[in-house]
Amino acid sequence: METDEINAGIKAAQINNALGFFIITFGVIVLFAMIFTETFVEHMTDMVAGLILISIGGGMMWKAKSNIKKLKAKQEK
Amino acid sequence: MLAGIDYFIVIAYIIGMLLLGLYFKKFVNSSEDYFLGGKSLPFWAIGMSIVVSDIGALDFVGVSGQAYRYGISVGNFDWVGSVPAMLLAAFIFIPYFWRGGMYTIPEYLGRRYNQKVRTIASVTWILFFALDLGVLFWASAVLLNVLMGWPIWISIISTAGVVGLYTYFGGITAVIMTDVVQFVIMFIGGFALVFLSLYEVGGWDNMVDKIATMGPEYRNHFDIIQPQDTKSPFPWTGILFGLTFVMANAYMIGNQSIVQRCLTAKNEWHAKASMIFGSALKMFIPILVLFPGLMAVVVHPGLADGDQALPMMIKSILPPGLVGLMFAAFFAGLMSSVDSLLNSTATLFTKDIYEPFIKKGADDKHYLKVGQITTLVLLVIGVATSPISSDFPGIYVAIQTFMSYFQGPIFAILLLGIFWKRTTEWGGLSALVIGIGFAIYLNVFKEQFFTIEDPFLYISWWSFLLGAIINVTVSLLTKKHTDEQLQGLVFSSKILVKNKKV
Amino acid sequence: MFNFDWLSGVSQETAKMIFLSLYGVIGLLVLLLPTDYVYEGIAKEDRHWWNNLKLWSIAVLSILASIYYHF
Repeated sequence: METDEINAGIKAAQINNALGFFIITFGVIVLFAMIFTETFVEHMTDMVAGLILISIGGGMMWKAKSNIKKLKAKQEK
Repeated sequence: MLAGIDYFIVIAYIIGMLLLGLYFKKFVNSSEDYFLGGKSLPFWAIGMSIVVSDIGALDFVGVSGQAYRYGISVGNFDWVGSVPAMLLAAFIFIPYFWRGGMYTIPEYLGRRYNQKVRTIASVTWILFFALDLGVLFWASAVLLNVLMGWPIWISIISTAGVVGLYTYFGGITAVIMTDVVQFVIMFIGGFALVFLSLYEVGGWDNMVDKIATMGPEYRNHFDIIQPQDTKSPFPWTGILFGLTFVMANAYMIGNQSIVQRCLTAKNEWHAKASMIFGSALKMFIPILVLFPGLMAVVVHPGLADGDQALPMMIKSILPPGLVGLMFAAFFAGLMSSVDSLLNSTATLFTKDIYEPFIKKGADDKHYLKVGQITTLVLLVIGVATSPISSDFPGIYVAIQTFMSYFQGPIFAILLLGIFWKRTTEWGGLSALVIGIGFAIYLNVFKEQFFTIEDPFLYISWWSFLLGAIINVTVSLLTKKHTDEQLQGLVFSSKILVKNKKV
Repeated sequence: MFNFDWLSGVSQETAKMIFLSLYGVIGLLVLLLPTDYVYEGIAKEDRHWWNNLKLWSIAVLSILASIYYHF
């Protein structure tokens, strides 16, 4: 792989990492908001929405981190 | 007004957007990074961004309101009004713009026709985008005022500060990536709203039955195709001719902020895929904005103002936490409209006005600086002109109507320009000027020509048709361009089979 | 003329068929595109069926057609 391509890959991964962190944070806040809900349906909605946000954000961060590791290793070769 | 956790979420969102945008500063080192994201972005981010930038907070509320009044036919705008046009853009137009290494649509028009066409198109867009900015700042301020209880001027300055900073530093990468976050949040909040609304009205079938018994005005609420003589603004003839054939294409192919996003893709496949992926996502938008409007007919019948439907549904149906998240997405919708306008206008000014007329051949850092300074100047103009909206409440609609005058003629010259090599510079120029004039004429005397209340779909079709006829006639009467002049600008089957620059 | 009065005799069902046929025609045109063209940008050895934009387009058009068929 060329240096340019590796740099572009690292850039994309860093961007995804930041986005993932942002989305996770909101997932946690929505999950926390569960304590303010009154009915069972509201409780479950906040929980599901929060968990989906956390898993999307988490997935993005995990993928980004593994990509950065891979690309950095290639760069050092 | 919001309180507690919901208030906190909106604040956290605004601050988070600012930090995220500032983080993207490290990726901007050249004018290509600033205007085209260094041509490195993936299709999924661009696709999400296209969908989100198309749906600002005002449309969010407006579409639900129209669904409340007219039913499911409003969905035509995101279904037939997007998918065919996005496929045409993906497979024909975007590859041309991409392979030509273009930054703006007027740049294509300039190469295909002449500098005059480029400048007219560019200046018109810059003027309206700049005016639109003030309106959007005011709308954001009103939203923050209602939601958070902040005074109007503090609301305007904080919106301008946040959006301005991340657009100034991060350029289009920040614009697109903040859209991705908004997309995720909007979809999750939106689906939660649809799910809970369906639960509230007792399921889809129950809702259809209830609405059907509400009276004759709800008879066509579930017909996507409305008869030609409907009183709603969406007769099928208007949807087919005005929307599908003209406005949708003009929007997806002739709109700088949409096309510029595709040009940020890392390669041609990603550029095409971004449009197709965007069209798939777009089909879900009516579920998020239209269905809550329909369900509001059952949950909150007899609303005097249909535009209240969505905010009322959010407040009465969503739990704490998601209310804040949805309103944050609303606010983000406004921010994304503002950041798109700022970045697109800065690109248009730098590439179509500054570079050819003020300083040719300067180094790249210079144009990057010009783009950033233009962003700042636009920000100041937007803030300074925002009070106009409070003096003229109809200005948003007026600007949108005025913008729609350009859709037909612009699409006529783009379509003929790319598909017919006999089209000449004078054909294009006269079609643009006469077509716009005709659209204005039809709109001013609309009571005499049209039977429906808001005939914007018909106006765009007829101005497109006249623009095309003028373009053909004048082109046939004037000197044709040489093959060298048209190199890489006119559709040729070679682009399909050889996959090389044509 | 400006109001398309000359199309007032066309029923809603026929109009729906016009829209559905339009999707069919677009689908056909997409299928006619050379496969190499829709893969342009991806290296020859990395081309998989899931990168085939023709399939993406047909999937989108099918969903669109089913929405119009249903409503």
